[in-house]
Order: sequence, then structure tokens, then C-alpha cells
Amino acid sequence: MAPVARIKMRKRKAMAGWPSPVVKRIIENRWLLLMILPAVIIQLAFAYVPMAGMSLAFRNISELTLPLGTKWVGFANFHFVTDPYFWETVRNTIVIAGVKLIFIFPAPIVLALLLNEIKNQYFKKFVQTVSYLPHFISWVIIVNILDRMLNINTGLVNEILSFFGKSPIHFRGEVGWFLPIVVLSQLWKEIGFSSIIYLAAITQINPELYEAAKVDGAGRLMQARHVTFPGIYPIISMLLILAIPNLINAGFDQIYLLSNPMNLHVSEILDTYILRTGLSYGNFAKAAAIGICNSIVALILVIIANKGSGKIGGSTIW
Amino acid sequence: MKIKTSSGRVFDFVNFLFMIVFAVIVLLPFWYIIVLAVNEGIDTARGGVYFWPRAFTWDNFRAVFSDLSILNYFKNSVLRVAILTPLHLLVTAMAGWAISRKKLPGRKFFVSMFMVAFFVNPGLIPFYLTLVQYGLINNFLVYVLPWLFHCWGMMVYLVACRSIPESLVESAYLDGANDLLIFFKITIPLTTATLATLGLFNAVWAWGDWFTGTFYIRSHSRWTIATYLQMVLQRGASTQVRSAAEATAAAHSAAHRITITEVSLRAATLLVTIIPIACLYPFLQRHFIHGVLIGSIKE
Repeated sequence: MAPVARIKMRKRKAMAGWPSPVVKRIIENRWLLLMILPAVIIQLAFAYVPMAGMSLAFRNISELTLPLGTKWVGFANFHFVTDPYFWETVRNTIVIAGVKLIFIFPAPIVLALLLNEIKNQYFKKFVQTVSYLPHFISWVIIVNILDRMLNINTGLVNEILSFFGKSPIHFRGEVGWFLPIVVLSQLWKEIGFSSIIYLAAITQINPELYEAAKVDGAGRLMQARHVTFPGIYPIISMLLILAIPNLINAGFDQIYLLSNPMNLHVSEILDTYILRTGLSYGNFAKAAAIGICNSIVALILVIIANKGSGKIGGSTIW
Repeated sequence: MKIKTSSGRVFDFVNFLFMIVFAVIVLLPFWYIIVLAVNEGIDTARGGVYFWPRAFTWDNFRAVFSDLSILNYFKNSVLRVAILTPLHLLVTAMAGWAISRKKLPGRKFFVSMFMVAFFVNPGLIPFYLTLVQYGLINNFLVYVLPWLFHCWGMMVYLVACRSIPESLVESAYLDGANDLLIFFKITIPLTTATLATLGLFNAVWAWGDWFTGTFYIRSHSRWTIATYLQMVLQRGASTQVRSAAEATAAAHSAAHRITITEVSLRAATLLVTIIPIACLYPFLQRHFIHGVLIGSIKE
């Protein structure tokens, strides 16, 4: 073949390749790309730009040089690790989250098992509907209601106490009552809604297993113990593993709203400490530094949870 | 069971009683707020009112609805939900539908982009400073723009998209429909249950979100009702009570007795805030149960 012809052919090939396959695919799917565009923009603007802003933790900062500060200062903003108050907030976070896990995790399982034993479907439906209500009411409303109920002055609980001849208790002021209030209010708010998944798992159990158990002479409690509970055991272990990331999450809304100057040394958690340091005292760099540590630990816990749930054969998070 | 054992019957009865008590405990705080809201505030302060109103009145609600600042907070809350929820659904659903299409160019890239943002929390301070940069502080748009998309919602919607028969989509392509048209004509009508669930969750969240108003909005005129309730909780609202009481008194005859107290006004405000949600969620119950199951497995 003559060189000229070869060049011509190459040219033709190049022409055939235009538009290139990538561009072609983009043009072909322009509507799909257009549809995903708003979400991408929102993510870039409100997730990735702040992620870049995390570098703030390693910078020197003053009011005039916001948002990124002036110069790199290495780990100078991380001096809080020697501050005992910081470790107090870490301790409070873990204590609150841990106590919540211990007391609140098993409750919906029990509720689901008991709901499952109700024969009258209308009554069951009614109890379920009622039990979901608090989940949809935000913490700011619930804490307002609690504040009234627990008020030392004509609050419902203290009125009942005085009816039984007990002296009123200053629930919101006494440090010892903080944790019980946190656990009980969370339990009250979420027990119904959390039971949904267990109830759904119970309906998935093969009815033949119950028949077989009956033939073997098992009563209802025995059936619950030997058929229903083993039937939902996989979902229990799965949810327990997925609860691992919550070990550092004490529940910001609830804790912040329930905290007051009197209970601060048991109610100050990492999230509220970051908030106070950053937004109330304007110490942005230090708050961002604490935030980074918080985010890293949270990410590690998520990865552990994901590894764990993958190991027990369930679907992983990603 | 054919033969009812006596122990079984005892268990049924105890279980029934337990469920009644449980339902009462769940409802009691709400009932208490209702009682306080329809009882004269001054009468409540004397004590002894908890299970039934003693001096019935609508004055507390009159006060809530005649107080211009409280009305304004409600207006802002309604405005926020009315703007945010439809847009949030649109952005989230469009992204979910696009991700569910295998032919989407760069699909893997977009998925990992959303996932990283889902799991890496930049933290409050960088987020706040970003809002400062964009000029969103003290701007009504801060109630809408950052919350238009959420990865969890997209994942829930993705699962709903997968249940749409591929043949339906194929035949629409053959008829010459483009992806946008298919989304509006096929996907949305077939996923209304999921959209209702996501809409409910988003609306409930936006209605109860006090944080945005408290920390990102400075002028009181742009606060939502949730932010107002947080401020009341932490600072009390005595001036509010006075102005509300005066407004009600002025609306009635000059001789009208003022019976409103902070407690009764707050109870009425809380009740007005709770009612929209309490009326809405039972109708969507069937749908959100499904949504929760998808979410908890994927989350």
C-alpha cells in the first residue's frame, strides 16, 4: 500500500471514531446525566467542599482570615488531647451511647415477640400505630413535653409522686436523673418504630415450623422460644453489628436539648463540646480538630461494622 | 391451638394488659399536653390538673393564632417543608433513577462519590464555614439547599426502581421516549409508595429541625417553629406570653380576663406543632414500614 493511501485510511478511521465513544455515550445518555447533576452539585457543594475545609484543623485562624486561616500549624490545634475536659466529654459520649445500647437494643425485640402473640389483628394494629407515633415527633417537642411533665412545680410526675405522699424531685436539676431520663425518653420514642424490622422478620418464618412444634407438643411460650426467637436471631445479630457505629453517637438532638448548666458534667458529649467550642466561643480551628478525631473514629467503627455484617453473611453496607 | 391451656389464657390476658399499659404510656404525654392546652393557664398553675381539664378554654389556641411572631414561625416552617420536600424528592429520585440505569456513563464513579459523602462526616465547623462562604447564614435558602439530597433516600429509591419491569422501560425506549420522559411517565407513577415514604420522612425531619434555625439563622423573623420551641425550652418565653396574652385580650373585649400562662401557651403551641404529623403518619404507615425495611438493611 502506498504511504498516501495509508494516511488517508488513518484519517478515515479517525473520522469514524469521531465523536469518540466516550463523548458518544455522554451525548446518548445526556438526560440521565442531567438528572443526576443536581445531586452531584449538592454533594460537591455541601459535602466535598466542607471535607476540604477539614484542613482548617491544621491551620492558624483568626476572625479576619476565615474561612481557611493563614498558615499551616501542624498539630498545634490538637492540644485538646491533654485537656481533661475533652476526655470527660469522650467518657460521657461512650457512657451514654453504651447505656443506650444495653437498655434500648433488646426492648424492641421483646415488644415484637409480645405483639406477635396478640391474636386480635385490630388490637395489634392499634398498638403498633400508637407505638410509632413518638418516632415522628422531633426531640425538640418531646423535650418540651418532658420539661413540663418533670417540672418541679405542678409537673405531672411530681403531682403523681405527691399523690402518693412522696416529696417532689427536681428531675431536670439533679445530675443522677440525667441518664435515666435520657434512656427512658429514648426508649419511649423509638421502641415501637424499632420493632418494625423484627415483626417483619417474624412474618418471614415458615409456618410449618410452628405446626411441627405443635405436633411435638410445644406450648406457645415454647414456640416463641424455639421457633420465633431462632427465626429472628440472624436479624438480631445483624442489627447488633450495625449498631457498632452508634457507640460514638450519643444522639446529639436529645442530649443537647436535655442538657443544662446543672448537669453539664455528665451531659457534655463530643458533639455538644464541638458545637460550644466552635460556634459559641468562636474557636473554629480547635473545634474542627476535635471534629476530625470524631469523624475518623466514626468511620473506623462503620468499617468494622461493615466487615462484621459481611462476615455473618448478611448484605454489607456497600 | 385446639386445646387452650389455662396458662396460655393467663398469658394472653397478661399480654393484653401489658399492651394496654404500653399504649397508655406512649399516649399519656400527648394527652397531658392536650389537657394543658385546653385548660386555663392560671387554673393549671394551682396544680391538680393532669388527666382531665378543669377549667376548659380555647383561649390558649386563640393566643397562639393571634400572636404574630408565633404565626410567623409557623409560616416559615410550612414554607420550608412546602419548598424543601418536593424538591428533595425530585433531586433524590432523579439521582436514584439515573444510578439504577446500568448504561449511565460513570455510574461507578457517581456511586462511590455518594458513598464517600455518606460515610465521611466533615463535621460541624467546616460545614458551618462553608455556609458562611456561600452567604447562606441568615438566608432562608439555608433551610433548603443543603438538604436537597441524601444518600440514604437515594438508596431506598434505587431499590424501588429495581422493581420496575425492564420490559416496560425497553418498550418505552422503542416508542422513542427519552430517559427524562420515562422517569416522569413510568418511574414516578410506579414508585409513589416509596416517594410517599421518603416525602414523609423528609417533611417530618424538616418540620422538627431546630438546629438549622438556631445556629444558621440570626434574625428571629426567619425562625421556624422548632427553633422557637428550642429557644423557649432554653430561655423561657415570658415576653412572648405577655405579648400573646395582650393580643388575645385586645382581640376580645377590654374586660376579657387573661388566663394564659407560659405553660398553657407553650402546651397549645406544642399541640399545634404535633397535630399535622399525628394526622399524617397513620395513612402512610403501610408504605413507610416497607421503606424502613429497605433502609435498615442497606444502611
